[in-house]
Amino acid sequence: MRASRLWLLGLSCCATLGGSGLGDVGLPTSGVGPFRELVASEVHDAPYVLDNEAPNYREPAVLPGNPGDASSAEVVLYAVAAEPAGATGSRDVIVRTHADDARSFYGTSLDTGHTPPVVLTASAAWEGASVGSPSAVQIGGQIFLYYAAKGGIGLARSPDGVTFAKEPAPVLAPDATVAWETTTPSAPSVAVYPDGQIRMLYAAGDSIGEAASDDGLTWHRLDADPTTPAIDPVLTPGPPAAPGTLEDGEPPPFDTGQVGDPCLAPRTTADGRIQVRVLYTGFIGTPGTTGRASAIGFAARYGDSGPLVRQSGPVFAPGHHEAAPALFEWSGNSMLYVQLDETSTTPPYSAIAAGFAPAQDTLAGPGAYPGGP
Amino acid sequence: MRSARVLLTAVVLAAALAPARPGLASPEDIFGYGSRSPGMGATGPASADGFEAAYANPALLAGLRDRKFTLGFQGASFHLTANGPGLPGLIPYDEAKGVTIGVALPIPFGGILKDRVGVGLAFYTPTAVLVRGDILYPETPQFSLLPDRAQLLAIVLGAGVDIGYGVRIGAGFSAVAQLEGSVVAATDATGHVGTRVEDQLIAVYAPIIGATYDLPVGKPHTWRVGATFRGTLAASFLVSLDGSKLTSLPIPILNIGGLAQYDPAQVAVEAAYDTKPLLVAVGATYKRWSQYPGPLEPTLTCPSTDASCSALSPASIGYHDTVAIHVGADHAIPVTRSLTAHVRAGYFLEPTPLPSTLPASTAYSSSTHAVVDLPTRYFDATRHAITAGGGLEISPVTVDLYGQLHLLQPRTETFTSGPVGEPGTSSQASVGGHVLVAGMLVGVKF
Amino acid sequence: MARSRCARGLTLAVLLLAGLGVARPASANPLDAFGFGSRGAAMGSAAAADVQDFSANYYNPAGLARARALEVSLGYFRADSYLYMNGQNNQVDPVHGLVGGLVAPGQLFGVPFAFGLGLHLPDQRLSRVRALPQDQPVWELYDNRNQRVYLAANLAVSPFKWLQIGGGLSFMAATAGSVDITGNVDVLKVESSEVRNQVSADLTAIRYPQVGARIAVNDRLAFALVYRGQFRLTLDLDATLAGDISLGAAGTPLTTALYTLQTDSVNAFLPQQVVVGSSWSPIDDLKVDLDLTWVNWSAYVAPVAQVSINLDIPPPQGGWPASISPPTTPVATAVIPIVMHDRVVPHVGAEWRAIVRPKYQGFLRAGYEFDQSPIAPQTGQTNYVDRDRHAFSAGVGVRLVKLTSVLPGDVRVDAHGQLSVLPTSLTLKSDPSDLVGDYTAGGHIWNVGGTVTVGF
Repeated sequence: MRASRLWLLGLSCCATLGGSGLGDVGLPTSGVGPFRELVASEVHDAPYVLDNEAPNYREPAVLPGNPGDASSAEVVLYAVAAEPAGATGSRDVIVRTHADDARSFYGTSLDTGHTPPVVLTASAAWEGASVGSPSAVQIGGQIFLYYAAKGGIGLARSPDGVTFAKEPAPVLAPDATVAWETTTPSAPSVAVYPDGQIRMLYAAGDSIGEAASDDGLTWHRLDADPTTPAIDPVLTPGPPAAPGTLEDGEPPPFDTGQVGDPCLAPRTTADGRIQVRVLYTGFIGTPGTTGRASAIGFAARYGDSGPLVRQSGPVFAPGHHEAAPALFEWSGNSMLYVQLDETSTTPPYSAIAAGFAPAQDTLAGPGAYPGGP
Repeated sequence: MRSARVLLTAVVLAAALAPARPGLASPEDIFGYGSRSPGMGATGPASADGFEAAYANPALLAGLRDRKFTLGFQGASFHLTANGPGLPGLIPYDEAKGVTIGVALPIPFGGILKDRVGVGLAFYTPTAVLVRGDILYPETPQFSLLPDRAQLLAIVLGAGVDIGYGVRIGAGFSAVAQLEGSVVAATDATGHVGTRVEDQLIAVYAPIIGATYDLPVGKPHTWRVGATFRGTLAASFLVSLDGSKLTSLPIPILNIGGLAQYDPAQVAVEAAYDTKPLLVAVGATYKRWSQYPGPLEPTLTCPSTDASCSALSPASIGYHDTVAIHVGADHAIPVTRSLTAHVRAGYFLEPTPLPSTLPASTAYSSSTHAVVDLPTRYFDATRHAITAGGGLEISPVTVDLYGQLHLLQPRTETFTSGPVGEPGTSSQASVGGHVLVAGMLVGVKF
Repeated sequence: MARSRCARGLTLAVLLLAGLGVARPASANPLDAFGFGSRGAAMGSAAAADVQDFSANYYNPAGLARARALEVSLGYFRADSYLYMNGQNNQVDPVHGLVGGLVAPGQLFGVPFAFGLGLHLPDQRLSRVRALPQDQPVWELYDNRNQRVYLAANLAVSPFKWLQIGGGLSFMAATAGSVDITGNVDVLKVESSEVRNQVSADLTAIRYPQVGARIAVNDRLAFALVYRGQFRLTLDLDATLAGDISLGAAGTPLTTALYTLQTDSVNAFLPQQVVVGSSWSPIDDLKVDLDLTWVNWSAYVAPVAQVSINLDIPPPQGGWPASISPPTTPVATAVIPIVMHDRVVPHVGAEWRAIVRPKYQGFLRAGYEFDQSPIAPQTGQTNYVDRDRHAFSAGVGVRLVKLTSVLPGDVRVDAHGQLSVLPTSLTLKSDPSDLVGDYTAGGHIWNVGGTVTVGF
């Protein structure tokens, strides 16, 4: 009501307060969405958190910046960037940045004069020209940075997350005996389970597989379905909708072409059982299809073995070729980092964007950019 | 006794079994309230009796001597016309039907407060629709101040105290409910839509304060003067509709609302002369309609940073204050020792606060893709109401009947309209009609 | 003489009950959980066969006919909820407000008769409608159902000394409305859009019955039977928006838009209840009450809005701007029914008149009730959270007789405290990909209040 009218009515009227209600504070959640894009009041260049046309940032991976404090919003982010490389044009490297508020990252385009430093480049013959798909995890006192390269999945370790020493050979190389791995393993995501197990999810072909390790260096593949003789992936492309089952306006299943880019996020549920949560990229259209649509999906299982059960719909689908999810959780909040087309130019370029859950909550205004990466 | 019980049966069954069809308006302000007042020209500040004093003048509750429970039924039909270019002539409105409950309770304090304090509760409810808010486009022909204001659940509670020396004072309140809330529709990542609906009914109160003075002249007959102040009673409807998360298109948040019901602040004064058996009352009521902002609220409001944005605003009508005149009489006719009949008559004049020339309203035209002027077709006219009533008192039961004929004084209203920025055109309408009201109430002393 | 009096009394009772087709807003939701008046709340709401003050409007209208003098009561209570999921306080709204009422006894055609009025007026709102996404966890029986006004007016008669009958019709208000919106939406400056609306909204009355009877076997033993009818509180809203979408100045529309929204929700549902009560005085100064309340929870309707939306925005000539994703018509969510089971709720209460003096009396009260949760385990997509409730209550009261010459009757001051304990337990999800996941839930609720009654 107009303020003036309210005041006039208030001369002779009074009313009960009609205050707004609560009851929806601190609600339980699996921490995996559904997510909504950050809005302009929450980040300077909504929904992008790391954005610059030349580096074409992709494939984010995150680590808590303050591991001992579950309420801290400080986050370290690794991403793939394009670096000029002589006559070949460019090559992909891995850069590092961080934010104190989970969204204002050092070196984004609006943080003028700063650029996230390169922490990993291809140097070994088995790696080829580029490195990508970083996955960072703290094991013991070291940062283990897994990455994808031409010959498989490699590992680099660092005491400080800035200076890394690479293993000489891939820790997970192609295995011709595994029939479902029709391409070289890539897109690793490594996590330490609450009981201390170290597990990796990785993409190959059109599916996602799983491997285990005792030390993070030596890995062996796991079979999602031991009842069959062959090693099976934990997640395959979803089945298409049966004819006539979709309602008017209902989109078809989003991951019938390929699933990849797993983000492994295990946790212990309220009753003490392990829930293996996985965010992934789902594609409509098989690998190699030009311009195919994608969305971020969620699958999970209880326990440390077996196939994953998927959510029927995506948890994040802004519709701009979102892919390569990374999850950061703090104080009951969840931030999902993805690579997303930046559509302000033609053709669009790739940048790192963020989605937030719970979707009905709103973050405070963004903080200042940090002074360093 | 048996005939009284049969009559009581008929009345309560009729009330209970009446078909629930929507009715209209803030009835006490339009028709009067209670067993006796509606038949006596809607008088009351110096002459009200029983529970009706809770609305007419709470100070008169101090004179209660018997506990009494009253149940009544009231109906009104509207025959309202507006004739002119593009006007329908008869504008149809639903009948108003409602049930009244009244309770009058003398409080049996002892000592110095003995026979000095009384409480009254008056409760009117339409039989189906408790509150109706029809806030229509202004170019829709409508009598905005009459029929829909009769669709209102109203609760009135008051108490009165006799402080001696012929002076009584009283206070109470009217209460009505208003609605506010939000509807947020959002699409999740799967394309499914869900809504979050949160709406609240909030009680709105308006004070009623009254006083009477029995003049120390003309004994044994009684001259009494009374005055009542009633605060503004406004029930709004305000729901925000948020579809901004349905699509990436920036759909604004829409404010759906307005004033569904409005009774202006008013001061009523009256003088009554009671010779027992004859009671005559004459009074006037000043109503502050100039504070009425009109029923419409803007769907979008300009932000504080751009107060002159192009969002549409409703036309400012310019209602003016009015003074209503009430005259009424009641004559008691003893028939037997236990049976008394009453004959009542009255008249009241209710001027209209609506000006005769109305400014244009603005709207966006999809055909011309521009903002255009439209005529604001609000109609109202001064009402002359002739009232009559009767009652029977067979202790402990009372039965009261009344009827009212409201005649709308014919008038001509002028509306302006035309393209924005150009000299407007004007048209006229002839307004008239009548309203019929009838009611019956049965009371029991216990 | 007695037979004719009986006939008059029963006829009167029937006529008055039939005639009470009036809108008296009533909702037993906050009163179901927290009691009505300090005496009833202190005695675990075991009052159907024992009540005779204003709280009889809720516990058993027949009790009004036992009053011997006009009584006016006014009190206040506050119930604060400390309900947790996964150890997080969900900040469920407190319930607080005035309680009060009156009982006015008398005689009608020689038959004892009484009129009663009872009121619970929340401080903040008369009622609240909340329809949330169906997978959002919510304390279904405590979050919103208790945010409601209660106003009842009942009549009662006592055709015989050992029999009282009472009742009334209560109601709540449902909302239905239609909204029509037309104009032009400027996507570059939405606050300047030229939009207006018209609305037609009705609050419609919903009526449901409440009747009760009390039979006194002798001076020490009485039984009662009460029935409270069912009601549902609805919100139905239709909205239509039709107009242009433009980029900037009027006169250059981008495209047209038609947006229709229809939402229907049953927000509050009060199941019907039958109460069988008893009251026994083994000794003069002690009273023990036992009530059993059957609650028809299986008829409960899920408070989820049924939504139908149509969004028709044709693509503009030249296509959509790059920054705008083409809108599509959202798909309505399929509502998953809530499964609830009928329950029998036992209430036990005791009152001991500890102090007996000519001018004053003192009372100690205690009570207990057990509400087994009626909601089926939430292993699927929905999350209607509830737990068993153990409510322990206690209270004190003092009665002052002929306090002053102004108050020739008595004055009673009562106070109560109630602790409801909801033991924490697990909700396990069968689907590991459920977006809410497993959680614990439990907590407690404190309810305190006081009531002053003046009898004349």
